Amino acid sequence: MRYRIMSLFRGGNMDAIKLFFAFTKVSFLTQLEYPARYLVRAFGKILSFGGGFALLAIMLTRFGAIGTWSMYEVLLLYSVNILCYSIGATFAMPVCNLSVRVRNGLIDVIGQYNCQQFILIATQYLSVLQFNKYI
Amino acid sequence: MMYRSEFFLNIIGTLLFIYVQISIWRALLPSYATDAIVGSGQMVTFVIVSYLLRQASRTYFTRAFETKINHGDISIDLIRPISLKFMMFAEQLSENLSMILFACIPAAIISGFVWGIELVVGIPNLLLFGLSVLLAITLQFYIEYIAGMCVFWTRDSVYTSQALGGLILIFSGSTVPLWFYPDWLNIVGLFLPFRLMAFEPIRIFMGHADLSGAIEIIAHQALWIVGLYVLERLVWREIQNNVFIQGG
Repeated sequence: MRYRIMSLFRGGNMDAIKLFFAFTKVSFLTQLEYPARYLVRAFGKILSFGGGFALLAIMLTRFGAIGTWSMYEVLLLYSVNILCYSIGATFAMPVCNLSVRVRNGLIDVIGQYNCQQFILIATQYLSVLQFNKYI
Repeated sequence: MMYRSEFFLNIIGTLLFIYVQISIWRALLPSYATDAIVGSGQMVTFVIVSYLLRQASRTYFTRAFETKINHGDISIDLIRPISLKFMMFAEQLSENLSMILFACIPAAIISGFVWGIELVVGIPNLLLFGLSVLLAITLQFYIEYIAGMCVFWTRDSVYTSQALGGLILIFSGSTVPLWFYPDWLNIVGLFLPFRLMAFEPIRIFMGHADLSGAIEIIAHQALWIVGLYVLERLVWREIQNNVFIQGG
């Protein structure tokens, strides 16, 4: 076990990939620790993004089209937009918080870990909740 | 003004947001029937005033409650010689005011020059609009505060704020005016306070409500605030009986 953990902190691309998946697993398991809480949060997210979808549907039912875009085309575009955003946000959200960490002086904490810092940042706040938006 | 780049980026962001909204409405309205309730110029006014109102009444109470409860800071807040509610209201109001003064108003002035704001009402309506805005902000603060207090039981602010955000988005009429909603959804909205937070005050500003109509809107807002105040007191009493402090 010790050898396996030590091997994760060695340099090299293969080790970086292993480290990424190891941290990702821990991050996901932490967030899924309370399944009921996860499901209710998922409901909140779906309601929130469903609100945007409903608003577009209301608008386009009234007006019929935006320029040459029909209602179904606009709603499909909105769905694809949410999907792309969610896929990106799943992995990129932790990096968005970097400015806050720099301001608060917390960026040094990352440097103290004996592993690849980027992978640590990228996986520490990996958001499992973004999967709800895929739906 | 500590971060100047953020200040300028806020103005640019606001301008872009207003531009996108105006472009969408300009694309939509010409295709609309001739008996249109509003013209393109009035929609520009709607977009700009709606944006200002949203910025003036935005809150982060649910997230603030979650942080306070999970870190145990709530125990300190509860023994302060000032009401937690008024402290949070004042903090949020000052933050919103700085955002309004240094980002939104400059952007609104630029937008007004570029796209034009139609001001068709007199001084009495403007005064009533000001009063209505104050009540709308109070109303939004109370709703968000009560939703925030639910974190005492749920320990999680994400779904509370997002579910509430979804309801406000649909029923407040700040993004899509309620004129364009189907009748059945408008009837549902009549029984909820969300339309009084944005749509109705903007109606006063745009002259779509006469003096008696404006007074009626203000009376509705005041009634809802009284109702929410009573609800808030009841929830607060329940919390005080069952509060559980962790962390610290």
